[in-house]
Amino acid sequence: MSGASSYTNRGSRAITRVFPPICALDYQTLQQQEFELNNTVEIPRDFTHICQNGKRVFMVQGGRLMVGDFSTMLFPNYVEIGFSVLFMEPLGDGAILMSNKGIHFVDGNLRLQNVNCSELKSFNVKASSNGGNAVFGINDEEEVFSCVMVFPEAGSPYPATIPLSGNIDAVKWGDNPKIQYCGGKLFVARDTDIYVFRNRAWTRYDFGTHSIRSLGEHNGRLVIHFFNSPMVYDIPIIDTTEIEETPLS
Amino acid sequence: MSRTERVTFERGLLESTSDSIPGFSAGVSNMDIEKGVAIRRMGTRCLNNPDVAIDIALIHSAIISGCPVCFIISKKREVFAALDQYPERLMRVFKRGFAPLRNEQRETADKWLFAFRRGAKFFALEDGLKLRFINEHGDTFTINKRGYMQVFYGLPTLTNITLPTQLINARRDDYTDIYLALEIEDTTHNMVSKFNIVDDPMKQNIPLKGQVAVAMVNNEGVIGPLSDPPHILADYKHAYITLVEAKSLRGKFDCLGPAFSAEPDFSGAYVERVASVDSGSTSNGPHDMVEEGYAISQTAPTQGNVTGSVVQKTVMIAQDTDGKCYMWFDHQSLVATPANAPDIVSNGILASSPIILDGPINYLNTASDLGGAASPFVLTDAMIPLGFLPQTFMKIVGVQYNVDIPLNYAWSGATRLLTDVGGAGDKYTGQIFLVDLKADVLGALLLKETPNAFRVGTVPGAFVPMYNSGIVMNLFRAKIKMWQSSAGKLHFLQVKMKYNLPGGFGYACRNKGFDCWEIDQVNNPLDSATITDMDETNYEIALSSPYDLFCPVPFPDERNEFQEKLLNGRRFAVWNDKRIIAKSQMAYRDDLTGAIIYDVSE
Repeated sequence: MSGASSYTNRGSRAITRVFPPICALDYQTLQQQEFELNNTVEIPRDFTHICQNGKRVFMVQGGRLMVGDFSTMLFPNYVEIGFSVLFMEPLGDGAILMSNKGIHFVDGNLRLQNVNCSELKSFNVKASSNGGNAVFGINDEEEVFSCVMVFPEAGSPYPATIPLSGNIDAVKWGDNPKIQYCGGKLFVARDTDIYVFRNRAWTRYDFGTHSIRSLGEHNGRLVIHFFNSPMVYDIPIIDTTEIEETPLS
Repeated sequence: MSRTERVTFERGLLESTSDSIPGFSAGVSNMDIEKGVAIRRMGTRCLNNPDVAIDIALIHSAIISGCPVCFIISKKREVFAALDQYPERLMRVFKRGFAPLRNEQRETADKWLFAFRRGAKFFALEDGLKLRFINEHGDTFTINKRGYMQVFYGLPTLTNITLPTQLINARRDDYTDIYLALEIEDTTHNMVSKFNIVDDPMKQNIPLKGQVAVAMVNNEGVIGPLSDPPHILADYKHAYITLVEAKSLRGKFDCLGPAFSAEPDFSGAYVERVASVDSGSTSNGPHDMVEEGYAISQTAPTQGNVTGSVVQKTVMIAQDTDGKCYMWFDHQSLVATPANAPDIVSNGILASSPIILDGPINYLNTASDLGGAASPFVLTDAMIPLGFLPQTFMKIVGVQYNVDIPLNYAWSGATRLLTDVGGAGDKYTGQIFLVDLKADVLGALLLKETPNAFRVGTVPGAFVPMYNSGIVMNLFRAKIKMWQSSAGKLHFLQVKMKYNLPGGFGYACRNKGFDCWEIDQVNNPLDSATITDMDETNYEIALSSPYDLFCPVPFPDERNEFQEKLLNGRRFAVWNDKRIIAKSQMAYRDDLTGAIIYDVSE
């Protein structure tokens, strides 16, 4: 093959790493360590959602919301939840949980609270994306909204929802919109087009017959995965002076 | 609203601005305005141009060793990577190093390829040093974000590594797969399903007491949840801890009882007495049997090709002043003809097995016990039931040939001389056996009655039931188990003792010290084991073996539980009363010989 250089692999014998399932206790005094009984600690087994916020990892498993440590991936603490989680994203020092019974916030100490959704027409979320300091979502009333931590002058920070844009006329997001935040912009994809929200304005890009399968992010730029087409990232942005602003409704 | 024209893709990226593409906004070509600053746009890049679309489950971007890598997990659970420097090529990700992500029977390079074996949903978690990919079942792979990273031109094998010399060539060559090597480990947490505390009769291990539990240790060294509930040891116990079924190959084993022909099949092992006698000699003897100890036997006792059944027969036992005991078959216990009297060797089988005493022993005390001049013995009330029956045995330790054994016995005067009665028709010529009636049996008998001495000697017609003339201290009648053929001939029963010894196919393990193991695949570990001691009061044996543990498996298959845990398991930690006291080993095994390597010189 062209453009290749090869050499014989190092090593004079083939060896395999093995773990004998037997243990002798003939030098235990050299390796003793104190260890509390931890048979109530959970490990990821069959969970539905997992997200990370700094060193903390939040996981929904078996009707419980658990919090663990990223370095060990063990989950010693949990709180029972009485709702089905649809989406979970990190926010503040905890996580936002979007469920069939509303939007909730859990802090780093596993204190659960409801998020005020009075600004929105609906709390039934059908897509979400993590935006660092905000969580973005689309509800079944076709609203695009963000969820941010509010830091009042007095009292503890609390999460709040902010509608970003009302319904864009004649646009229906569909049952399975794809939403991705990256590079300071929010991208919402339907079947063949992508709406970009930046600087309080929307831009639309139509990909013709190429159906969009999913969105991603790479190195601060958007990655678009098409059906039967190359996967690309970054899309051209036109100067904003030529864009008509879409006011918030 | 603005709209762009569709952009068709060929190889490469847009390296220069072009105002001629229809719909492109003139004057702002290839620029973007960010916070009032004009920034040159990198351009749209094509990461992949496959012939068949990849169905993607997860796209995640991370900086690996300073290089932005776009990870893509397909719905077939394969993991790909895309690099800015290699546009239009997706690379398969694989693990560097000789320890693969999973060990399988197939010897292929696929073992190093990064892929999930199950799952439909995948997630990515990361911090500054580690990137973890995890599926909804908890299968976790961790990548070192500051570790090794290299592009390979073809998947490396054990004998060949190929690197691309030029990036452009690697990109242009349609027919070669490109691979990205990273430092990846399977860091999945597992629960302990079961563990065993295996007795250590040699007491080489430090004893345990109290609560004992086991937890799996993942490849990052994190100890997982302890098994629940903990096992509780009430007393101190020296033991090994295993995750598979295991048995000790050393120490003492209790006898489970005798086995003889026509018994149900036994799944354990047998122990038989090994002895010999000079059966070829024509001398009448006496001949002593030569003890050769006890040996493990894998075959059940048999009576050879003699069909018949187990019967109970009466024997006479006489004890002389030296404490020796002699046994012969009472004339009346033989069927029809004295020719049915048993020989010490019949059908080529030596009567070396223990003889099973079966029933109470009758003590013959007075003349009336003998029944008079012409009558056979009768049972008396001097019957001594043996409390330790039925597990009472005695062995034949010698034999005398061609001895005249009378039909009846008589009491002769005050000297209590035991004589035979009658002529040639009132005796048969047979064998008298020297037996080792156990001291506890004799002791129990002697306590019952004041011994009466029956004398034999040089009086003509006197019965000499022993090797030499002397005084018979006591005379008993007992019942023993024998094998009687269909034709009525008596044979000594071949008896072997049963033990729950580990046997069959499996893995024999020897601790070389400090939990370093030598593991051999064996057809039967008893082939190398020996019996170092036999307590003939209760037939408890002491077993010695070059191995410490034996782990049986049902089939000699790579997929048995021992092999699976050996190749794809993890270390486990042993916990005892609030302390981790040990962690099992991780070792390296030579693929050719199967031996675990602990020294570079091995």
